This record gives sequence, C-alpha cells and structure tokens, in this order.
Amino acid sequence: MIFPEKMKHLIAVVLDHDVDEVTRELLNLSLLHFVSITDLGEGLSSRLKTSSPLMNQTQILDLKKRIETYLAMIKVNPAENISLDIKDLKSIDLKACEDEINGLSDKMHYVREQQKHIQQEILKLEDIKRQMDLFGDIRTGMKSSSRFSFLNMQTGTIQRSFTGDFETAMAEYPTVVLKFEKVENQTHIFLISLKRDDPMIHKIQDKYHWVDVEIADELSPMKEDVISDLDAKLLKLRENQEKLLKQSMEMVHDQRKRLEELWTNLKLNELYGRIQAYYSKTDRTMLFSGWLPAQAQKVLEKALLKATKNRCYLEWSNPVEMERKTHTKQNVPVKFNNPLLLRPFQMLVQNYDTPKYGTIDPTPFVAVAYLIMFGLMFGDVGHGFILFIAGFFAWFSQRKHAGGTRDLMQLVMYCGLIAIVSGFLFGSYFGMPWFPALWFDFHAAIVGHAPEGATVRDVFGILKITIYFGISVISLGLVLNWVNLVREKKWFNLVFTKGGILGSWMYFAGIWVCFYAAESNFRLWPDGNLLFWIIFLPALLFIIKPPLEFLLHSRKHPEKRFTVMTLVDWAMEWIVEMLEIFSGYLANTLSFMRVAGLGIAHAYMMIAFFQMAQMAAGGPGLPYSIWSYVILVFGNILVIGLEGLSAGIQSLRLNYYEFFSKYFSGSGRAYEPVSLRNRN
Amino acid sequence: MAGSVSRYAFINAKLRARISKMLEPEFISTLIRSPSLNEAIQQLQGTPFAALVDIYTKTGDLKLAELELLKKEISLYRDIKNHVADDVQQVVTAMLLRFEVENLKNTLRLWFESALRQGPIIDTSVYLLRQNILNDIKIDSILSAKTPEDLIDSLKGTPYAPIISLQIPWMLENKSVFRMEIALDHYFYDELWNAIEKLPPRDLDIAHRIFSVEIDVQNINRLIRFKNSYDFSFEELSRYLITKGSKIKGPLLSKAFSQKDAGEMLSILLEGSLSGLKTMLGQMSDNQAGQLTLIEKVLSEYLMQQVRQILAGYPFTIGIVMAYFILKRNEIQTLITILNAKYYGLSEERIRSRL
Repeated sequence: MIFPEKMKHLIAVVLDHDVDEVTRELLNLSLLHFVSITDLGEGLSSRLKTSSPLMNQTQILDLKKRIETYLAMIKVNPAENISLDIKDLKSIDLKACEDEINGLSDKMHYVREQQKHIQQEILKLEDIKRQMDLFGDIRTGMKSSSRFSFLNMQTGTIQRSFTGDFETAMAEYPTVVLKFEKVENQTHIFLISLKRDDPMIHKIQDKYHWVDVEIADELSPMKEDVISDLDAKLLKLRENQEKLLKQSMEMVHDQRKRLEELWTNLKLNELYGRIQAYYSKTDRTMLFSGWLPAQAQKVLEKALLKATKNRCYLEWSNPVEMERKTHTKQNVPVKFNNPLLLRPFQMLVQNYDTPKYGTIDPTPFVAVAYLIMFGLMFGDVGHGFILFIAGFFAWFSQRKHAGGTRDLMQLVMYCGLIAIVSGFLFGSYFGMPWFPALWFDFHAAIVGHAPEGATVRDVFGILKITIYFGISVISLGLVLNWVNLVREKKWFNLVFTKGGILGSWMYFAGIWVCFYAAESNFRLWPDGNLLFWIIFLPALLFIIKPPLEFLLHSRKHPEKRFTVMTLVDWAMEWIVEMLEIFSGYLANTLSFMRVAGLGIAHAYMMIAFFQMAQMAAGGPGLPYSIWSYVILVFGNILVIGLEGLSAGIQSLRLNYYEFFSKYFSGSGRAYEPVSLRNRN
Repeated sequence: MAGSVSRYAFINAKLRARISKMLEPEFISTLIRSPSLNEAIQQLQGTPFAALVDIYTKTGDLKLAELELLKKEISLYRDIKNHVADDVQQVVTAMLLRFEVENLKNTLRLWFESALRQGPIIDTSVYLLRQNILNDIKIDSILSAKTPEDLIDSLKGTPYAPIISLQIPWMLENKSVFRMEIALDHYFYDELWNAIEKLPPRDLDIAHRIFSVEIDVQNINRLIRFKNSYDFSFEELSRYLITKGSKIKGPLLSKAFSQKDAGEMLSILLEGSLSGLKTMLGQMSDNQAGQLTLIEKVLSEYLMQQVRQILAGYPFTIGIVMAYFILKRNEIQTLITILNAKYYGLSEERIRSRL
C-alpha cells in the first residue's frame, strides 16, 4: 500500500503464425503496459520492422465515434454499458459497417429534412400571426392588402362539393382558409396566403373554380377567427414535429442492439490493432515488450505458452536488470496498490502527479492528513451529517459511472464522517453544545468561556494544536523523503539537501529552540555552545555541498573550470540555501495555522448567526421567532457550503504544498495496460 | 497599477477560464470529419453549444440553430458587461451595437426587397433576430412598412430614424440600400470609437490596436471591391471608407486608388503600419476574389496574432475582454462554417480551406 506494485518487464518473441492467438490472449488478460521494443535500445530499430495493424485505426475510431453519437441521442453510453469479451472479437468489414451506419444516417437525414420542412411552415405561420397581431382590423387589411407586404388576403367562393379538396390542397402551403358563409351551392372562403406562393395558389384556385367576391363588412371574418385557425394549424404542425422527433429517436432505439454489437466489435478491433501497433517483426517472428505487475507474471507466461504451444521466447526482467541491460534509465509505469476505500485520496494524488516508480505512494498518508485537517477545520456533528448525506446521495446517483465525480462524492462522505467525529470531540451540534465535548469545547475556547481545567482554553491553545500538527506532518514528510532517497540511492541528496539529513537536523533543532524560548516567553535561549552544535554546525556543513558537487560533476562536465567566480558562486549558493531553509521551514510550519483559522471562522460564523437569530427574536433570552429559525437554517446552509468548500480546499493545499513538497517524487507514469476493462 | 488589477482581476480570471473551455482544434477536426450534419451537431452535446443539439434535433432547421448561436453571442456580451467598470461597459455596449446594426441592415434589405421590389421574403424574414439588443427596434413593423415614410415611422425613437431618413432619397433614386448600410456602419464605428476614447491610456492603446486592424480589413475590402466592381470615383469611394481608426488615409489611399491592378493596390495598402502583413501574403492568387479571400485570411490571422500577444502580455487590461470576444466570434464563425458546409455536403478539404 505504501509502495506501488512491483513491476516486471517482458520481452517476447513469437512466431508469425501465432500472432493472432497471442494478441487475443494479451487483450483478454489486459495486463501488459506496452512499450515499443525499438525504444529499448539503439540499433534495434534498424534491425526490426514495425508491424502495421491490419485495419485502419482512424477509420475504426471514426466509425466507433459515429455509433457513439447515435447512441448518445438516446442517452446510451456504450463505453459504460457494455462489458467487452474477447469472444466477441470478429473480423470486421469496415466498408459494410460504414454502409450500415450510413443507412441510419440517410434515414435520419430524411427525418431531419421533414422536420425542417415542418419547422419552416411553423415559422411562416408564426410570421403570419405576428403580422395579423400588428393589424387591428382585418377588413381594412383586405382592402389594403399591400400593407402586409408578403401576405395575400382574398375572399371568394367555390362550389360546396369542392370545399374539402380545396382545403386539403391549400393545407400544402402556409395558408389560412376560413369558411364563413354557405349560400345555396357555394361556400364563401376567406383566404390568407403568402405572395411567394401566388402561382401555386392560383393554380389551386383555378382548379376548384375560385371566384373572387367582395363581401359586406359585417359578413367578413374576425381577426380572432384567423388567429384561432392559425393556432389550430400551428398545434397540428407542432404535433407532427413531435412525432418526427419521436420517430428519429425510435429509429436509433430500434437499431440499438445492432449498433451496440457493431460498437463492441469495433472497440475490440481497435484494442486488437492497438496491441499490434506495438509489435516489431523480423522475417518470421514478432517481438513485443511491456511492463506488468510482478505478481501477474505467471498468469501471462502460462497464457502465452498455451497460445503459442510453447513456441515462444519470453525474457523477464525487473527494473534494475532492465536498466543494466539497456544502459538507460527506465520509466517504469506505476500501478497503485491501494484498497478501494482509499480511491478518493488516490485521485487527489494522481491529480498532483504520478509518483515515480520505487518511491512512496503518498495515498495512505494523504488520507490521514487530509481527514485530520478537515476535521479540525469543520468539527460539527450536524454539519458533518448533512455533508455525509449530501455526499452519499450524490455518490449513489453516480453509482453506474466510474470516475472522478464518484470518487469526489466518496471524499465528501468521508469529510462528513470525520466532521461528525470531530464534532463529538469538540461538542458542537449545528453550532450548539447539546452534549459535552469529548476533548474540548471549541466554541467555548474561542469566546473565552472554557471551564477551568479544560485541555484547551483559548485561541492560542487551538493555534498550538495546529502548529504541533504541522510539525508532525512536515516531520513525517522529511522521514518519507529519506526513505525515498535511500531507495533511489541518492546519497548526496540524502545528506546535503533541505529535505535531507542536514536540512532536517536544522529543522528539528530549530523547533526545539523555538519551544525552549517560548516556554520562558523568549527570555531564555539555549546555551551558545549547544546552539552551535545543533544549528550552526549543520549550517556550516552545508558549505561543503557546492565544492563536493563540483568535484562529483567535474568528471561528467570537464568544461567546467574552477575560477575565482566559482568561489563567489559557492558562497551565494550557501547563503541562498540557508535563507531557504530558515524562511521555508518557518513558513511551512506556520502555514498550518490556517487550520486553526478556518476552524475559528467556522465557529464564529455560527456564533454570528445565533446572535442574528437572537436579534430577530427581539433580544437575548426571548423565545425564537419564525425569522430566527429562517436565519439559523440559512446560516447553517451557508456555513456548510462555504466552510465545507474552504476546509476541503485548504486541506488539499496543505497536502500539496507543505506535505508533498517534502518528499513526493512525481514525474512517474501511470500503468495503463491495453485493456478490455478500461472505460475510456 | 492597483487600479487596473481591481478593474480586471475578476473578469480576467473568468474569461481565461472560459477561453480554456473553447472548442479544441482536435474537436474541430472531428466535426469536419463527421459524415453528416446530424452527426456533426450531435457531437456538440456536452460542449457550451449543447443548446444547438436540442434545437436541431427538435426542428431539423440549421438556420434556427444559427439564430441560437447569435443569441448566445449577444448574451455573452451582456453577461460580461455586468462584470466590468463603467468605461469598459460603454465599449462593450458599443460592440453590442454591431449586432443591432447588422440585424437592422438585414431587415432593411428584406424590407426593400418586399416593399419596393415586391419580392418574396418570408423564407428569410422568419430567421431575423426579434429581440431588442440596445434599442427598441420593431422588426415586424419595419417589414410591414408600406412606404419609406412608414419605415421611418417604425424606427421612431431609435437613433436610426435620422440616419435612414437622410438616405431615403438616394435609395429611391438608385434603387439600392447600399448607402443606408454604409451610413449604419459609420454610425457603429463612430459610436465604438467614441466609447474607446474614454478608456485609460493602456486600454486605449490596446483597443486602438485591435479595432484599427478590423477597420483596415473593412477598408481594404471596400477599396478593392468598390473600385473594381462599381467603378467609383476617388471622392465617392473615400466617403464609403471608415475614417476613424483607419491607417489607410491621405496619400497612401490616393496612391492605392490610382493603381489598376488589385494586387498592386494591396501591395501599397500594406506598406507602413501594416507592412508586417506583406510577408504573410507570400502567395497571392491572380484573381481578385482570391486575393480578397487571401487578404481576409491574412488579416484575420494578424488579428489572432494580436490576440495571442494580448493573452501572453499584462493580464489586467481591456485586452482580455476584447481577446475573448474575438476568439468567441472566431469559434462561432468556425462552427457555422463547418455546419453549413456539412449541410451542403462539402468535402473535408474544402471545409478546411474555408476556415
């Protein structure tokens, strides 16, 4: 858990005709983080040919993307829904696949064109309606129709038997057809159409023997009739638009199974091709290499031997052996080795950087440090409970999605739990002291009402706790740094750096001196001799760092000559290093006072809201009014949101800048095997 | 110094965060590769342009989706206006005027087509923006105006009534709204320049730099197009150029005008302050349309260079606001170009050549 998993490197040589079986096995096991074999040593690239995948990867990716696009229309994400199985891997005819998707695309295009046509009708009818709205009296409109620059208003008659057909024919265009009087065998019709459609409208009118007539004002239709006819038409068009939208969705729904099948096969072929892209070949063999967790070596070996019927050559090496063989520093991928419970903290670490292979994985330390810091800043049972519940529901809603959001919600749940625990320790329940504190009453301490004999009685006591905590975190960071340096065999850095033995010596000594002086209110300081041994000696020892470094590097860089300026450089380097150690460590330690600051702010905000609630009640001691409760509810929500966020961010900041900076060796790369189970 | 930090600290952080969320070149490339308009639009799901997916899926109407983009762009200006100091607000307001002027120009073209030429306009008029940007402009009243007098009447209460009124005689005589459009452009640039002049020196310098490029692009375009296509005299053409902020004036202008060939004209226009562009114009095509496209591309690239300089420089200036607007407009234009190209089934190469 403290160190990432041990890794092994594999170089494999298989016969050409076993390549398919081997690739399938590699994909099925999903264990190997591939490394191009030509990267392992100079000269290999000239002797080996790179193997090109059998299928065009870009085309596969494009087709896969197209399917994802269609499935996204019905809110389906195949990457999350489909479990890949190597048995489903079949050879794929990309042309046929493309034709199939094009078929769906064409059908969709047809529906979209219909939708567009209907939409334009809707827009035109809405435009007619807007024009009608501008116009007060429809009768005047008929007399001066040119005012409606793109509308034609006419009244006329047709034979009653033609009425239905006439209406059907007119329905093809954005028109308003109002029948308002039937005389003998004739129907009087009021027609509004677009001037643009005049030729077609005239044809229909001719077909049904339309006769223009002038009608008496009192008989002409009302504006309301026109509007209601337009509304009816718009409603029908919108219904049709809805139907087409449903149709387009159903089209994808009907094809869902087939699309998912195609996607699965494309994805498998993509992964298959990706593995083969790492192969290098000679005339009759294929070579590949990669990293995997040491504990999985046997599984992969067995599978490869089986796939090749023992006709393969496998060479296993650990990172040190690889470096010896290749004479190059190996960038070994890092596989975290943490339990699922620590995933949120692993996410925080990865967000910063991936630790270098062989160095400490900070995840478990971050988990402890982060939660303690959060608890100190946000100690309240009620607030913690709300935070936990909110985090739980958000986490539950994300249960089907793997990834950052779910991990973040899990972190919120943890923060809620630690806030509950620290709430019990500080005796705070929605800012009220319902039960006695198990450790000390935080609110009482900051307002100066702490009882006699309490562990912590004032703000300074709280600040002292956070300083102690800061010293512990920094000390742990320094110890972890030594472990990393020893494991990396960086002996020079182990002694002569700020985080090494000399720097740490000065830090611990400095801390002791400060506490010694503080006990006597800075009136008494340790004896001068002692000060020399514990502070100045390591400082003086730092003087030999630059010349030692010069001597060690002079072999590698013979062009660097010793001059008088070199002495000046060494002096400057020493001065800067001392400044950095003194001011850096001081700032790092004091930085932890923000934990107390945030905790105090949390408590004071609650006190402020209680005072406001009291004011709303009319004065101290009076029963709360409804406004008092509103203020308290609002205040609690604000404190949970604002302080929760601040405490979360500050805990992260302290981990990243005060803790990680002491020991974390980033610049590693994550273990990413070509895998059937990778959701990305 | 402290003043500029407090003026721009918030908006600088906000806009830089937004700039980082703009569509990446890889995404644009994926859009270009999409085989159909529907698939291209669906890919916008999960981006700041997700509203387009909804509109297109429900209506199948690309123009409606474009109208949504325009509304979105306008709302961005309004949003940013709320977060800047008074003098910068005035500049943003003046920049918003561009949308109003462009919408009014489109409306006037349709009114002219409908009222004076009796042509059909409904296919286009339905896609006009019908929301007030700065002034209360009644688009439908303008479109239904029967006479020029009705038109002026419908614009009453807006600053455009006197501008349009002055151009009516020329419009009736020449059967064109050309001068109306030029007058509206002049109004916009005058307002913009007046707002810019009130900025403090550092902001003023940046604003001058950016808008001068834009104005020169307009002027070069007009100079080449108007001289060769309409055979205008020097005096007449000078009237159509934007004077405020332009570096193309005086002897440079008359010298350029005296050239017959568009290429020579360009080469003269790009001397002096725009000389840096000459090197970017390595390959000039022979035909005039090609030259104009090329110069537009080069000037747009020049503008992007200015934006990059602004983003890399001192952050607490109006530059960040202007850089954001330019980048956003560029992003929206790119999106519109790709989606239209998909609608018309253009090949990937042709789309890339148009971007």
